[in-house]
Amino acid sequence: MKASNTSVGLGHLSLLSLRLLWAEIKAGKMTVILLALILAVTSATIISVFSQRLDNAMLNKSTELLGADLRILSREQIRASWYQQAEALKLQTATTLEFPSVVLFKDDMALAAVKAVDKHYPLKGGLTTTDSLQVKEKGPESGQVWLEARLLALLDAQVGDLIEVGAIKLKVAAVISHETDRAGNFYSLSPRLMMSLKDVEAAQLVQPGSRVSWRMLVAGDLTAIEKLQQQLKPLLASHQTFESLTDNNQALAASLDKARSYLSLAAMLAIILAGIAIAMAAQDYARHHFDTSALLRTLGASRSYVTRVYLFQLVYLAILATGLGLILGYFGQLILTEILAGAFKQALPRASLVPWLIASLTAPVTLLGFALPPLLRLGQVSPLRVLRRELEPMAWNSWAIYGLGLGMMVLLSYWFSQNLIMTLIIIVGGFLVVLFLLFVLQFLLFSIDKVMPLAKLNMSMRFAWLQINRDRYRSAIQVLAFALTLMVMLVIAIVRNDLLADWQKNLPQDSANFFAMNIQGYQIDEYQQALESAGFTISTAFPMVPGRLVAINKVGVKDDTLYANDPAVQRDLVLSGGRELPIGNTLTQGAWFDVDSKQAMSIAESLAKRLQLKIGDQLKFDVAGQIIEVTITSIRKVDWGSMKPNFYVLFSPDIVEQLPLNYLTSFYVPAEINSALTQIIRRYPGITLLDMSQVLIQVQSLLSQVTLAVEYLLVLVLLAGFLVLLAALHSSLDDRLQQGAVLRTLGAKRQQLRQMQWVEFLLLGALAGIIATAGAEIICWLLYQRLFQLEYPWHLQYWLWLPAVAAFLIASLAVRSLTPVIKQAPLVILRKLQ
Amino acid sequence: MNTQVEHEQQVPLLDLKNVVKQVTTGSDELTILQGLDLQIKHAESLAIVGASGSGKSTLLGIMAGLDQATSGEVWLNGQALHQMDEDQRAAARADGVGFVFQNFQLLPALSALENVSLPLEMSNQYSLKQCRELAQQWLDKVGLSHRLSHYPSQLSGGEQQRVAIARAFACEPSVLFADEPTGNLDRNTGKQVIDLLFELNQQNQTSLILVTHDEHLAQRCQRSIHIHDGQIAKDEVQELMNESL
Repeated sequence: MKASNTSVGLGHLSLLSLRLLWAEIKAGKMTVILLALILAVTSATIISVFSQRLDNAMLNKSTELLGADLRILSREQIRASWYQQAEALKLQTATTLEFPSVVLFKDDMALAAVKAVDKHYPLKGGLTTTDSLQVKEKGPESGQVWLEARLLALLDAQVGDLIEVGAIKLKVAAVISHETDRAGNFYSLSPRLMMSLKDVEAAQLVQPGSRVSWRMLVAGDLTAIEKLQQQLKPLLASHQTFESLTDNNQALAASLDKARSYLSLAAMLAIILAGIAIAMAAQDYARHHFDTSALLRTLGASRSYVTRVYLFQLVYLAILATGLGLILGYFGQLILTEILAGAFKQALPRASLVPWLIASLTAPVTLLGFALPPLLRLGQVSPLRVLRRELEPMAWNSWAIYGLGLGMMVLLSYWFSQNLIMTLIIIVGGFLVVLFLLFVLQFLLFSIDKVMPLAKLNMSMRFAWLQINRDRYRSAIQVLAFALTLMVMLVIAIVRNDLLADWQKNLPQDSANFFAMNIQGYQIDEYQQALESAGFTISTAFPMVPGRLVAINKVGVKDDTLYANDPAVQRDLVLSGGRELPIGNTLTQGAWFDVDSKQAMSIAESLAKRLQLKIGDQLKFDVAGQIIEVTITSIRKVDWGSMKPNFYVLFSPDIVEQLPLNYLTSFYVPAEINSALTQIIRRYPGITLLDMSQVLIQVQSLLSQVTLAVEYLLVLVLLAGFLVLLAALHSSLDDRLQQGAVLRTLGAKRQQLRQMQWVEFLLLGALAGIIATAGAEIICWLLYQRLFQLEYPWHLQYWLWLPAVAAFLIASLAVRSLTPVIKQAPLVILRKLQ
Repeated sequence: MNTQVEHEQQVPLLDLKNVVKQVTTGSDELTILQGLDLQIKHAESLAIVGASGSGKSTLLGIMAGLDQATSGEVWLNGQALHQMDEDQRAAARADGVGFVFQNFQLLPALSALENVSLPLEMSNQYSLKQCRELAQQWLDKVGLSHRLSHYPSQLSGGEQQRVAIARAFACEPSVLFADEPTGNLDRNTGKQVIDLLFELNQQNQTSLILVTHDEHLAQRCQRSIHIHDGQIAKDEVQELMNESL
């Protein structure tokens, strides 16, 4: 060996490094780190690709509910130039016009919600009619109308009849069973009549000043849509707005948002698990290679040579793990999406290249953040270690290591989730929580040690305690690895349970699917009875009256730009009131009405925030020409996600008594007795019905699919967590094996050894369980407050069983892995470890 | 060739001048070597003996360039080790120093053949095929041609030490340092390993410097020095014993 290796070429070095790595892999020395890396890339691939595909599928669903990617609502016909602007951006457009109108057939007449559509409608989703199972991509032809079954019942007409629509007669060509964008809001009260836009002029239905809603529907490339939105925004008149799903279907929008957050959360947690696994495996790897590095140095290798050998190994590991992980991840997400495609009744849309790119960066980035610092230590090993084994290289400054790891973690998590709040809560919040708990743990160990009656413990327990307490920092790190893994598993499980419970609570199978409005006071009891005897499940009736907010603290709402631009001010609000706080509402400020409450009102928190209202503010309403002046005495939190009647404004009972009220009620009609409803519709023609069943079915089917996805992700993250737990255990076993072998040479009985192992790991596991539960509660609380907007139910029961389960799980896995100490000759173990 | 011989006659293999080694433990300063002078000729065999903690291994480490003296000069093959930084010393080691350790220091993940081949591969002087052939020849010389693909854990202690010896000689070093080479071996195996070490030492005209507790082993060297309290207490030349080899 005459040549100095400082001048060795990269090609030679990379080959030598590869040969060394291959030898290590063959000898099984790289199994843990390689598995951890492959696991990281695989789960990153599965979750990022799958969640993007699922996200796209859900986005498709939600655009179906809108009938477009973007919708503009206008009270006047929309200018042709806007359509030209959209076409210039290669976007598709369609137009609809909605207005109420009375239609006639023979002697019967009924108020219909007319929707006139052009030939491009709908751009997303489809229409179905009862005559065919096939989805129709176009609305009715000129000269035809499609009706909702309810309207047919009111008119006593059949398919094929000619009905009078304004000045012309149109033929009933089909019965609408599903209208893609028939969103359920309380203002589309009448049954649907759909006709061609071409016939509107001839029908002479729309006169100047008529209350109509024109809609411009736009679909196409999302960036182009965004661009169009930016171009049109300054041109919008006061009566024109962009409509999103949220406006029309808050229940669904809120649920979808939560589901998306859950997917991001799962992806992020999988990355954290991968980070933990790699950090542990790399520490372990470095520790086992101090001797090798020292030897390479005595053989004449320079520091930079040794460092480069290991850097090349990192590169090879990253490439190998990325390749294998991407392949496994591809099949993993394929299996998941195949299963879910059944639920979505269609193939899930493809993922873009982005999640693949992110997944393939997982291995290099996690290696850089977690494996580089310990491996760089290998270059610092003194060659003198061949003579003095106790010489260890200087550890990197631990803040530098944690800082690098954290930085990489934040970067990757943000990439995955695109959600800064969640990233900060999980990574930074999680880190601070863990750090704090770690200090508490060390302090606890220290304090317990002071009072521990060591002399009274039996030998196994004494030894186990000494083992844990001798190097408190090391024990703490070990507990931390277990606790972090358990915490990740717990967070994902807690969020899943509460999310599902929340959806279930809001959408039980028999939640009301019809709303009846405009019920007169004298009719309400009779009407409720009629519904009940037809076999429908009825719920409480609410008084209601439409009214308009006209002034706030004596300032006219039209005179203030903040007020004037709010949609709640631009239209009639459905006002209600009474003695009872409606179910699902919670007071956040003030007190509910009592017998002395006069001229008082309670306002929904969201509206109070938008209009910057507080307790004591005075509001003026115009209710059918009558001016009502009230003072805000309470602010309520309203669960808009529930499919129940919710009100912005509730008046005190004294006002309710003065107003010309009618009633609103909701009821559940099971599909099999739908026909009984027709009779009731005919008996009470003045009562308007809102059919929410289609919307409900859509929401329920979507949520059940998302629930399924959530379950799969839970299993995936739990599985990854379990594997990481094994890796954590594995990396701490060498010392235990050696110790066990030494103890046996000193005459320890097998049973004693077993007992020591059980006591030690039960204790470590229980501590990890307690820290994990505390950490998970704090993180989940933050997540619920900031992200999911859910009430946080503290999980006291977890405190009881989780530490016990964690202790048992960790101890049984550890004892099982330590079996060689019992089974093999001590010398064999010592020799292997050498 | 003549010039090489002349150089070797004029310049000692190792020249230590007033070497001091101090270490700090906490607030105490401990002097391990106290101004030690020593010259070793080419192809000489030297045993360093002494009680535990006398500074034998420290001296070996300094001579081999694994460690640095606190003060004094260390010349190896005319190169001033004491003026070099760690990487320069690594280059000097690569240039002509071999090691045999008490605990063998074989890489557990590499087979016997791969362990011997490794330093040759690192030198970048041969193709991989040549490295493997040379390694095989050396394993043949130490009587392990039937154990080429065995891993260290599958070899006995004596076999592991023979692999280590093959590895040390494979690079044709001018000096071989051995730290208690028989410390982990039974008497018979130890004797076989030592026979092999001396035989190869003679065949290759390599200098041999070994640290040992074993008086018999020390007597087989041409010269032995006794270290006591960080100084050379006795320096003996054993011409006769060497002859008997």
